[in-house]
Amino acid sequence: MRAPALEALGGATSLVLLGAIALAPTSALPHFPCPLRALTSIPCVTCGGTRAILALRDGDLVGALVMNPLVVLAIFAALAFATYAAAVLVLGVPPWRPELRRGAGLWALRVGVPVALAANWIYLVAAGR
Amino acid sequence: MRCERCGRDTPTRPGEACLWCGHVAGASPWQTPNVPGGPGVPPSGAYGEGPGIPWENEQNAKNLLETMKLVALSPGATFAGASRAIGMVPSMVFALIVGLAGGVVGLMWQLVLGMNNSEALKNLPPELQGFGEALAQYSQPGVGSIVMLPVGILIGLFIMTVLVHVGLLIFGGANGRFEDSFRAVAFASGATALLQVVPYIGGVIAFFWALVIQVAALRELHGTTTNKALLAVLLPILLAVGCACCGIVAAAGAIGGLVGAGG
Repeated sequence: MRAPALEALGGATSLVLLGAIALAPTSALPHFPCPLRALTSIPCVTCGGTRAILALRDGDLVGALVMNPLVVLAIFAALAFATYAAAVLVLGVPPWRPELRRGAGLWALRVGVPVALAANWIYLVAAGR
Repeated sequence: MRCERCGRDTPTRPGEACLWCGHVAGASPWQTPNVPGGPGVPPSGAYGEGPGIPWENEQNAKNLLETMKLVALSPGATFAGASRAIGMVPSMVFALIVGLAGGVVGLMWQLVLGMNNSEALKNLPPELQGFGEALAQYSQPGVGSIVMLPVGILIGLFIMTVLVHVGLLIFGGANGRFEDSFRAVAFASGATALLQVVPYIGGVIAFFWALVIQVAALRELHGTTTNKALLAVLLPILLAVGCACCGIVAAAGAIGGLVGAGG
């Protein structure tokens, strides 16, 4: 019973966020000017996120990636996790616990996360989002 | 006799550790129970063999208040005695109950005092006017805010835990499970949620005090160092440091405006 709690909460979180992204009225999506950009002219790591969501809602995947690749990646990661959580909770698939504390998993995290964040931010600055 | 801490009947005598929660009558509620090796001397590998967190031992009103007090005022000692074989559900329920109470009071303050009035936010620097107005618009309390509060609490807990746990993994401090990170975040969030009863600054104090509790809780539950736990907790903030700085500027401007409006 203990293990699926992670899948239940994570799956519900993913579903709520995906539902909001897909169904919320356009006016309810965050559309305020970024304070970092307002003060420094430098976009923050999430700048372009709302436009990426709007492009995805129009079925324009390329347009969404152009606006903010990391936000699109996060949306697809949430979709993947919701599917996985449904498989665990509904179909009884055993929970997956990858080893991230050592070996390849650890290095993927240590290298992948900073590189992805930095690359996305550099792209946003270069593209003037 | 009845244990003064967990309230259960225990066959042990005064001076001996409660069979259920390990509390020794007359001792502080988080004292290490008597074990072979002498009073107060933890056994080898004592992690997770302490009295446990009252709310995780048994869910009732008394333990809720006791847990709030212990977690808020003595987080290191409390989590040092926490059991390792506990899942996410008790801490999630704890954070939900106290978070809802604090959140409702916070919303009431907003309604009563008009804390989110756009007049105050208009005192922001010109560059942040648009942000301030949007902030005022989004923070308008209403029926929807109360309905969405529990959903927001759960989503916030999960996302914060993911960020903190990834931080712990990156810095090599994740010796425990994801569930342990969740417990740290949830108890820290819950124990400080009622600070929102203090108008204006309660939420700010709760935010920073929750960070302190998280560091202590992660250190104990993951058996890691304070520095690694601190880095993991600060990582999400450091990543968004630009936005955080602007948020502080915005908050300072808003507080200044409120004080000015009040005076």
